[in-house]
Amino acid sequence: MPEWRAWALDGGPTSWPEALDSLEIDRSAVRDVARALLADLEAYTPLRVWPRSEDGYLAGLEEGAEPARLLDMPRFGEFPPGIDLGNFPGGPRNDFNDFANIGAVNHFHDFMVLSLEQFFKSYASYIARLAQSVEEYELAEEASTLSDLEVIQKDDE
Amino acid sequence: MTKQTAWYKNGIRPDDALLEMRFALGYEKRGNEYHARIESIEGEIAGTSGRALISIADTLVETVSTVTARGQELADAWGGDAAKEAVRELGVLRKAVIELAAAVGTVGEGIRWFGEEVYPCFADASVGSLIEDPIWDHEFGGNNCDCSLLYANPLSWTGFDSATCIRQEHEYYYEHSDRWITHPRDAIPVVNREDLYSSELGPFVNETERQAIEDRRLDPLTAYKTAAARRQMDRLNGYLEELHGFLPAKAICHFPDDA
Repeated sequence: MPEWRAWALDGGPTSWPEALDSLEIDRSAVRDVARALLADLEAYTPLRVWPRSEDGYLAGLEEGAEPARLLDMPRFGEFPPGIDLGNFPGGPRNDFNDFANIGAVNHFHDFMVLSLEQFFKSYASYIARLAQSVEEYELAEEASTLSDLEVIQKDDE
Repeated sequence: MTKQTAWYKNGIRPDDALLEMRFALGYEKRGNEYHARIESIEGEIAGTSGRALISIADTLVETVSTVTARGQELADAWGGDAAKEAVRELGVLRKAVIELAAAVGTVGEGIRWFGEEVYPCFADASVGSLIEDPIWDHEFGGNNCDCSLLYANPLSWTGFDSATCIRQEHEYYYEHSDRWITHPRDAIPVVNREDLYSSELGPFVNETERQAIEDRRLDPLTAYKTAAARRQMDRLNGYLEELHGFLPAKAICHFPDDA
């Protein structure tokens, strides 16, 4: 069973360490922590931007080069219970009809994009502040740059 | 301070209109709405979307294990109030990522299951199987054809009046279908209406159609295919409801403030 499934069932791990009262700081260790977290955040980059080729076109439109297609949620049919699940016909991929996405899965998709965006911002901001606290300003700058990236850009942008 | 994102699953309605699923005229997809309904479901996209969500959840799991390990290192390497706050905030972030990974993975798994395991069985299945051009039992009265033409019975010397109709082919038009039925009467299998009504397809024949069958305005093949399509669609709806039930009721994430 994947870990996320176990977490969905039991709520996930709760134990978490607490820092000591002593005012000591091992700067290199804190810096290593900030670097490791930054490397982890960078792993999300393919999810966040469509790669662009040199001529400015979206490289993601080529076959095999696409990041996760966050914007392609399925339709489950034009009748209940399908329309309650997701993507009313004439939804996001029909330009002539801007009918709102009304299904549960569409709402979840919005939630997920919003949460990932917030996650990236919180994570990047946290790493930047951690790096600043040990005066690693370049590292902080690098982390701040990542907080500006959007979760994903639509095809037509 | 935290920033909250939340999702609450909305309700789901039963497909009350299933029995009204109609026979559709047309050269292609002739039969009923089943094909149109199936085509409006994006099963392949469901498969790929589900897998994409699962891979996002897996990435979030990686983050949780990284944060867990580094959080311990941070707590060991740094002490004091500022350190306590930093470690606590990282714990809040980890909790939010755990919530998000659990929700994204669960939804992804459900969508993938529907797209890859359920949908193909329905997309490929043909509905309704009955020999071509049968007639209803009440239309078959032995050789008591209502044709008024006289029939020269070549077997009259045997003493049996084996047929009363001069034509071996007799055209019928069923109002509730697009089928002109041409049938040589004695060669056609007979469908018993009561068998249909009492079979597992029975609940999927609506009152209008029952009346049309009694009035000889609906042919057996169309009635069977429509009812079979409805039953098939009813099963598919059951899987959709199962998918809906599998999705978490809500997902709430509290991320640390990015200010």
